[in-house]
Amino acid sequence: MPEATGTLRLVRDRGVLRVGVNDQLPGFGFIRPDGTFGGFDIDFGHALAAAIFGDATRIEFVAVSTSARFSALSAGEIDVLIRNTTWTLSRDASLNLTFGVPTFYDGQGIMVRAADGIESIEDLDGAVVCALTGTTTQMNQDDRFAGTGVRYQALVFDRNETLQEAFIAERCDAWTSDKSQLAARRAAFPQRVGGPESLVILPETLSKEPLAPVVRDDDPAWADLVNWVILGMIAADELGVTSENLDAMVEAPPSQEVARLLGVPVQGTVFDARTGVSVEHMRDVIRQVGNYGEVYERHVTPLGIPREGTLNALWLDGGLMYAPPFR
Amino acid sequence: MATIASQTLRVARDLRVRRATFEALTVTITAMFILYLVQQARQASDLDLAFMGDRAGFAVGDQFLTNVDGNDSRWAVYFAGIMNTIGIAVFGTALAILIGLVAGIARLSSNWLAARLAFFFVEAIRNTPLLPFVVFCYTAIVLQLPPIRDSLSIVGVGFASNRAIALPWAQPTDGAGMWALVVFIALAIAIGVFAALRRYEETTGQPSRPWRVSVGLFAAIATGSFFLMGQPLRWDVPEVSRFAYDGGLQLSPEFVGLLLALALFNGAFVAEIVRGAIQSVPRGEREAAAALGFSQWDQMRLVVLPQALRAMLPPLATQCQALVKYSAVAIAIAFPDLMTVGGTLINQSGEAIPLFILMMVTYLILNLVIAIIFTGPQWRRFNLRPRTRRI
Repeated sequence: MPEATGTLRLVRDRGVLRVGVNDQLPGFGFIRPDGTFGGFDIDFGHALAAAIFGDATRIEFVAVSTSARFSALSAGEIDVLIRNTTWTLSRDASLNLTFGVPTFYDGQGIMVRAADGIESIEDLDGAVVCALTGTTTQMNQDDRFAGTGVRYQALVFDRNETLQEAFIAERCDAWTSDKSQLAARRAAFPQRVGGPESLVILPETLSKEPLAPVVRDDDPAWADLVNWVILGMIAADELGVTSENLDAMVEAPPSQEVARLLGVPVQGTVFDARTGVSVEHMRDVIRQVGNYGEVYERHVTPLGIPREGTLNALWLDGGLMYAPPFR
Repeated sequence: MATIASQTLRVARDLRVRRATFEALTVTITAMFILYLVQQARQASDLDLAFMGDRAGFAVGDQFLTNVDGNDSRWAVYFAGIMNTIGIAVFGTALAILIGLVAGIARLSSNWLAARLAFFFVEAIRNTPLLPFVVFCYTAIVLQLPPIRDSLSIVGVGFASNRAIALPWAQPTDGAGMWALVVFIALAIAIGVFAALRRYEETTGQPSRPWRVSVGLFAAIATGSFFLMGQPLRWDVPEVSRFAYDGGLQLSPEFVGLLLALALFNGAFVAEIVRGAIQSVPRGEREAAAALGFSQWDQMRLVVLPQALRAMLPPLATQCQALVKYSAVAIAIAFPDLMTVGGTLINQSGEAIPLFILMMVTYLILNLVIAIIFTGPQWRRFNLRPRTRRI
């Protein structure tokens, strides 16, 4: 193993990676019935542990609240924060933290009843829109509606349960939140009032919510490692390297790019980018966790958010998932 | 030596010295505690309210006598929240007192059914927490009205659905201001006539019907001038559109739900206050009135209630202040009161500490105003105001 410094050395000495996560957002970070953490964000934590230790289970998850997440990171309680956190200028600039590569491009959406025949925001002129109390959701909504000249009445609840009751009673015509949250709510919509099929999420997106990992900004090498593990998973997705065909790919890499990604010698030399971890680290990541697409399929697709046509598709398919070259 | 010791003892035993010492101690400790709190708050925030002048960026759905939107300042939006709290407090208090009077008197009634009903109402509500009761009133009662496309008709001119309760409303036209002035003058004349007739009645013993004459006079001037001035108010009848009603007076389900819950909840407590106050009037008073041939109603109205009022006012003031504080549960059912609006402002600006202080100060001012309304010097001439006795 190469010599390490800074955060990486700290993690190695400790023998376990500490990741700050959400524990109550289904699909992204939540506690499964058996008591273990699961979800999209959780798997990126496992990938990082696999890259560092060659063992995805040498990890400790710390459930952090929305308000405590940044201070937990600053205080060194966790090594990295992967908790559906939106990358914004003020957070990046003012908190002595640095944001990594977005793992998921979310955005505020609008959900309506299928039977109402509403197809776009313009159809909502004069409608009542339900939202949860919260800064960006309400602000985005106001900016977007004001821009289109569409009048609306906001109804702001403090609990999802009451909001859902009001929506079921047809007190409001639309329900707004981050699209991933709407999808989770839609998937759990009670059958007695129509089930998920009775609801439609409009194609429009009212805001940009790129969810990205966060590290302290005093250790650029550590930030690079976190980023390149994620980028490696995206590259593997693009190059068609999966946990299924990994061994075959290592045996006979179809291209030099694949060989460099997996640390397979090309003409006798192994590509070493000196990221501080083993040159073969991406093999462990993909074998134990999978590539980006596999992680997405495992956690986000079941919520009813297909990948095709969204920002989270590969750049080749018109999305934003793009890894710089591995060389 | 002995004299010095006894001298010290005498000073230590002096009541004035003791009082002064303890008072100084209390003031010092309190001041230090407050200073500590302020210092703590200042560490977390500069307590500057300049951010309240920025554009709000969000609108308030329900508005009571205000008209602000997202382009107004945060102060304007916050003020709309305060007005909503005041609106719910005014109507809530009026309804709660009405419910409390009826239930409180009914509970003492000799009618078995009325007494039992009032008993169950009061006990059921007083032993239930407010938050689930508010959510119940909203989701299980108000939201169960049909959706807007199946609106219930209110005698052909209004509508009820879980979108709103829409009623015809008098819309002022040109000249409404002049007419309002005429009505105001008519009211002043009617009150003057009432007072004069009342005095005449009391001095001469001749019945002169002050109520009928003054009310009739007022009604005649008001309606007469209304038609003479070309009907300055016009009926505005609501109509159904796709998502909402157009025109008329519209009461939102959140307002109705909160009003219902607060009026019933506080009404139960007022009922107990009324019952206690009535029972504090000696039985003999009522028996004497009965012996003089007063009807049941007159015994209550002329003998018992005026005396009960004196015992009733202070706890009633406390209950109304409680109602204002309880109204902060509005956030649970999306009614934009000052707590809800303040919460959104906190989320949006990140200025939690100054806004929480501002909200608490606002509630404090509202409640001090209520205290003055209920127990202020204006009651002294009725000899109702109970004096605070010092102990």
